[in-house]
Amino acid sequence: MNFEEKLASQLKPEEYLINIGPQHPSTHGVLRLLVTLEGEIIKNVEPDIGYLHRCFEKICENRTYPMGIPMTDRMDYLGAMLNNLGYALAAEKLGEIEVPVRSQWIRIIVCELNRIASHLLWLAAFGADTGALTMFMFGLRERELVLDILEQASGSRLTYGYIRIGGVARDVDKTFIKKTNEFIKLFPAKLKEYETLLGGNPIFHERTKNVGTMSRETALSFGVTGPMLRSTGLAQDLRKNCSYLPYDQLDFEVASNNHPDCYGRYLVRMKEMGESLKIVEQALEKLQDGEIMPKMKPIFKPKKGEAYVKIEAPRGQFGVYMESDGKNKPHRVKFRAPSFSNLSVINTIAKGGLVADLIVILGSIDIVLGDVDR
Amino acid sequence: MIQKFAESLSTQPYIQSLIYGAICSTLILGVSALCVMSLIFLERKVSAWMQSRLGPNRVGPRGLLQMIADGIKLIRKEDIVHDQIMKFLFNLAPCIAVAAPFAAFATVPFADGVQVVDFQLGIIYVFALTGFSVVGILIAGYASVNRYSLLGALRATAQMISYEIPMIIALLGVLCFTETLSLRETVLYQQTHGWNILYAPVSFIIFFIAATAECNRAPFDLVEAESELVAGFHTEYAGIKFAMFFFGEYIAMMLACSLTVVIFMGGWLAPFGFLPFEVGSILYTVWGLGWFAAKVALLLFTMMWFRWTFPRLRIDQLMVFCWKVLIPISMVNLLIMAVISALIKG
Amino acid sequence: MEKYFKDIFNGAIALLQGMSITLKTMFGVLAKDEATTVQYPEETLDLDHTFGYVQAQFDDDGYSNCTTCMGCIRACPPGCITLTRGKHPENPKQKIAITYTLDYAKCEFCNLCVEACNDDAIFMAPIHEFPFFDRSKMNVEMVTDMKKGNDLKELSDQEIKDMEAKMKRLF
Repeated sequence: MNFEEKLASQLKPEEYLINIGPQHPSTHGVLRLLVTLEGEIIKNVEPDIGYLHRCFEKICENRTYPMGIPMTDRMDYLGAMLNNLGYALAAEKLGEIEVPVRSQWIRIIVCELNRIASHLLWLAAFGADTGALTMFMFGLRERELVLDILEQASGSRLTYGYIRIGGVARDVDKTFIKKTNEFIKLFPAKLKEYETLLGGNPIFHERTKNVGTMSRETALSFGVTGPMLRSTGLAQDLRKNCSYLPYDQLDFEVASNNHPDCYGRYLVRMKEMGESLKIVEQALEKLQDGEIMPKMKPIFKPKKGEAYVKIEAPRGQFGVYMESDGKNKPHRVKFRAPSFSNLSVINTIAKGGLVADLIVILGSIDIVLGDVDR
Repeated sequence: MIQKFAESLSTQPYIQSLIYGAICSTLILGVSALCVMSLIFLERKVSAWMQSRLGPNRVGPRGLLQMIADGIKLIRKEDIVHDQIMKFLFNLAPCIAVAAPFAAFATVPFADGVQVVDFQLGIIYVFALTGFSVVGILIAGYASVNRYSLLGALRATAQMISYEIPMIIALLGVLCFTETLSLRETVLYQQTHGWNILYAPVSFIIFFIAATAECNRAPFDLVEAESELVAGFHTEYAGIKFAMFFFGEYIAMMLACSLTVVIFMGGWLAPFGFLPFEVGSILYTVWGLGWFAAKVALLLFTMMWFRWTFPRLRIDQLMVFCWKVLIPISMVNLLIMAVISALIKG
Repeated sequence: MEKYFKDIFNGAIALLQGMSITLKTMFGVLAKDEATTVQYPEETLDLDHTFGYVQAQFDDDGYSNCTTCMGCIRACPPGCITLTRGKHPENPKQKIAITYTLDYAKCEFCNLCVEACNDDAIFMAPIHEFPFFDRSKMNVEMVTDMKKGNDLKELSDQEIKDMEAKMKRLF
């Protein structure tokens, strides 16, 4: 008996099963949700994942350390820089490599820009989920600018592979800094525009307020992290709490609020974009000339040991566990994907709502299926 | 003119009216098909401009032939259906969805004398037919044997029945003054007394919002709600049948805007009673048609503007908005209007 | 009661503000030509062309710079590079690549091969548009296809087989 038949056999007479996905306009990828409905009221949601499973952990074990970097790009493909960073930090911890100062600041700049790009795409998709299609185009319009900047640095627009073990792949140039400064000037006005177009709209408030409410206990017990956790009032941000890059020299706030619903998540992400912009602005000032890569042996062979690194990805806590047996390939790599844990909470928070709520909740979780399935 | 032509062909009144009806419906069908095509094109252009894009501009000069290309594509497309559909109902539904709003055009006065039939009960006739178009959607959702379609159809039924109430109550306030159910006489009343929108702005707003909801336009497009129900009641429709639903939706839109113009915005009348031509002349008719089209176009643009700005409401919020906001306000509005009209008319 | 009307009023104001933004965008596109999109085949974005095609680099005599150190092959994550080693015709002590094949069906454009190359034999050419219409053509032979170093003496079949077997052992 397969999964669907099992659910179908447990149905009460007044209930019916509806299949949302894997081909559905708003599942953001190849997610399948088996939803038990009574009328339009949700009784049960069973996410069926694995359509995008590509065995990244196993592939990483069969590749040398630097070869793992392009693999991590393809997990959370909207926050590829952050994934690169997590992997590189873990490898650096294993190999005890000191990262040059300039590289660290470049890392902060590109990671925060990537976070803005990721949140912008989220905002765009969230707008489309609630039915505001113009928001979709507006979000993508500004995301293009960020991608242009990141392309200037890394050479690619989506799968950067920019942050390498020891530093970054290439140095940034003047055009990069000029483009970033232009973006910093332009973006606050655009944020206000989104606030007026979508955030201030009473229909949007109706759709998101008190929808998908999640208590802090629920969030913690499911391992929910990132903006979803911060919307429950817990200012948990690894950039502050566990500074893996020189974030402690920067002045920024952790976006958190006490609206544990879809609207709260929207607010957290909107504020986070502003804070990221502040970080980029400060980091650009601190950027000094210097080396970008330390002197390393041509073949990276860390000593025996293990390392776990956690960073704050756009979707939450991204963790990399890496175990070395002294060879040029990792013995074991494990990724802790934020989307996976965040998605698992959907049954709890979507129960009792309507079908339309489910779509908004799914949008507010901000899943990337590449990250969920890996 | 057409009436005289029909009379010249035959002496039998039945045959006369048959010929007259055939010519008129062909005319309206042709003109409205053209209007719908340009409307779809405009919708795509307006949406593109609002999203800082350019829209279709490849097929023909400035993309003007895009709709013809799309139409040909839709007609030629294979009609893919699954084998559990209820065939007769499934095929019947798009016909109803097109026919109901189309038939309602029979009594809309486009200009002075350009009207198929001047019913004394024109308004009731129009509302009967708009109410009928929900049947097409319900049948479509039911006959598709698809849960998404059924959900869409059920939403449509609830929505359209609810929104008819504030629409008609808002209208009643105006009827207190005009004291006629004929659409032509409503316009003639406005010729002497000024446009109704000036006396009844609240009625106008409620009527227009409810009319937007009646033709399932965003932000009330829960029936289709592509992010939730894939495509709602027409999920299983493809090719020409889908095109018919599409056609029906835009005709309904045009009808809603035409009604709003006739009832509130003085139909074919130019603003401020501006009258450069002699009443009854051909130029006057053309002048009136032009004003009518301009006003309808303005309202259609507003509808598109709504659609490309607002998020979509949820079904329960839609009902709450109707029953807790629109209906109470329209009731109070009706009361005030009735009192005022009673005071004025003694 | 007051709140009821206040809510409706504020809601209407917020809706109108939202509508003003779309209208502003529309006039921006129509009057000031502010559309974000470009008409692709006629116009192209002024991209800072950075990464694209992996291309072989040649010295002044037309021979590949590659000394067949296999660094790129070891660095390539999907393993899409194959090369055959031969002798330089003018300087027999020097080794040179006779064929250098890159399978673009597998390539991730990660730049790791270019970074691994010590001899400046390959670089990322600033070409972004190179669509393939046939899968078999995605296996691009660079040293010979670029019409340079073509006159090198070819290896015997046995030698090529040995090379390939050796390369397989690397993975």
